[in-house]
Amino acid sequence: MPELKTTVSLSKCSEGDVKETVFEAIEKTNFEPKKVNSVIIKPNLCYYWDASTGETTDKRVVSAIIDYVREFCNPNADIRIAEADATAMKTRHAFRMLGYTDLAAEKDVELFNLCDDDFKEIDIEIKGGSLKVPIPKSMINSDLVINVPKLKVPRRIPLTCAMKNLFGCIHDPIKAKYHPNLHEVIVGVNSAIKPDLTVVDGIVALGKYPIKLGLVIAGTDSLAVDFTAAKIIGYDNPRRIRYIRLAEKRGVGNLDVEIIGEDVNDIRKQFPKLNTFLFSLLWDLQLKGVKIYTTITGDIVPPVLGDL
Amino acid sequence: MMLNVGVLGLGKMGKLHLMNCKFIDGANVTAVADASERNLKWARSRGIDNVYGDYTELIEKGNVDAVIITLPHFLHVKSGVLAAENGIDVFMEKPLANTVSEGETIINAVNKHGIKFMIGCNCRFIDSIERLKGMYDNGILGDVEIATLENIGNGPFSPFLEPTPVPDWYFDPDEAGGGAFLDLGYHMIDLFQWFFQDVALEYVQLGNRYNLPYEDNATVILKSNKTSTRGIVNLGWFSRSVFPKFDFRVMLHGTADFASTDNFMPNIYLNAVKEGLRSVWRRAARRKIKPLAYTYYFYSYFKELNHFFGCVENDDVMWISPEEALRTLEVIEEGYGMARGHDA
Repeated sequence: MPELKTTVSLSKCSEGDVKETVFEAIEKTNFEPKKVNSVIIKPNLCYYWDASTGETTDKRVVSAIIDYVREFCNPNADIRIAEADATAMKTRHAFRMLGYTDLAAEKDVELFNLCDDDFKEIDIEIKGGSLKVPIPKSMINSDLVINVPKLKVPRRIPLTCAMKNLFGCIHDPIKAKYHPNLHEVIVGVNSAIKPDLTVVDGIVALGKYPIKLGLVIAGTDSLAVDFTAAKIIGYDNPRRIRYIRLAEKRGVGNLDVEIIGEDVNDIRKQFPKLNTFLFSLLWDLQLKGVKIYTTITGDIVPPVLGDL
Repeated sequence: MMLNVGVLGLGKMGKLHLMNCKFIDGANVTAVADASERNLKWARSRGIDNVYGDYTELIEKGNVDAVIITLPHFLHVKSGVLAAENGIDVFMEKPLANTVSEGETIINAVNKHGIKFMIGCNCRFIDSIERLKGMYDNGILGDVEIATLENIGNGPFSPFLEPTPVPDWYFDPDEAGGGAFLDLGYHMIDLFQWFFQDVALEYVQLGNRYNLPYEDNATVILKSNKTSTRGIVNLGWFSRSVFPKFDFRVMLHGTADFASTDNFMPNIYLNAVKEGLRSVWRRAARRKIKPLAYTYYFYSYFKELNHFFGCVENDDVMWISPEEALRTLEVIEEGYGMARGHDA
């Protein structure tokens, strides 16, 4: 039987109607609300930067999702907002600094550090072998898993959206050690964690600079959502992004996508495209230049560049 | 005369000062102290074998003539006093201390034991600031009625290109002593005091964008009782700014003319190339290089440290006196009191 098309919705909001827009975006997808008891919501809180910088998920989107779950799934569901510590970020600080502590109190939900969870190790195929990666069990066993990424281009890989946000779940704060195999690990983690719903915060998106797109993207298939996001950030062919290509090859998701709602091309025109290849190249050249220069002269590397 | 120097605290600033000492005649880092074994290993890899996990041991047993204190703020009083009691000269990263009472304790110990003491206020040593000060001192601007001083950055939070963990003490108001007003305000109030003298606080408003247990931004109005100049100071830790961008400026509005440090800031990339080539040439000619001059801003840290050790060696008066360091802290403490009054 041929696989059914998956729907990805694009909805635009203004400052005051985030909740209505999130509801509308979800309702246009294939998502079917069901009675659930345990719900886990995973925003992107990668560092202590406000949602207005385009780096982290706007708490208003998470707030709207909590309301949606209470209204359509179960008013008494146990809801947790989850994030995992990262190389430089501690969730307890990020929750407070980004307003999630207040949100949790207001909505009577729990804040949860995924690094405190039980985990299951999965084997991820990488070039020349395999890699064991610990995955928090809550992200697998909860009745309803909702992924709430940010739409951004983080300079080191072509796109951070649905699939990369689940990389942030890894039960190990030192995520930098997975960076050499980033694309394989993203696909591997997404083979293990299958969110029931993804709602992307594109209210402020991040490309070359932050931009107020006022966009909410929703879908039930992470790969399809990233496929759509890739079109928005400027890819005519999203398969040019390695992890999307790899995910398709490994059957992680569905690329038979129907995009409904706002016109992708209109949004794409607004997005400040960033050439990640050129950016990385120039940045690496600068670092190499500093390294060569300091080796020749014995000069010092400034503290902002760490230990080169 | 070669001074044996100990570095207490090997965070980013401690490491920077340690590396700068290699370019200073008469200062030889012979000992370091840090609670982190990783940082001690870093020091060993740079040829310093006299390492301590406890800074008090370094002061008491390290056989050093001077220490550079870059410990967390709440340890400034204990380390500063202990160094003074042991007759060791002190270069201490700002702020002087978390409270005026602690600051007075340090300054009393400094005076009692007659040691050399200087607070690190590198902004005085930034080239654009020195040039602006020269214009003001020469009367080119006339009398300055209003000064605007701005320093907005990411504070202890790292720029996104090189994420590094923020030490936990920074999130504890008792240990950090305050937020952007203490951290950046210390620099800007010191600059105002240096330019116009006899500084007094007129007004302060603190802000908290990030729900921290202290302010992450502040607007302050200062006044010089000597020149009647008003200073409007804007401070912030809220910006995801990226090096080499630098949201820092001092503007002077005088009766004859106006000027800003922005006018003296070079193109950062051209400066890097120019100073880099100079250093290569100097190295080839077996001459000394200017460390970090290629970054423009970070060269100021070398200059302040070089000034300190020069004053120690020649028994000269430091640019930044202990009394000025204490006065800056008094203004900040008064500001926190005033802000609490607004809240009440």
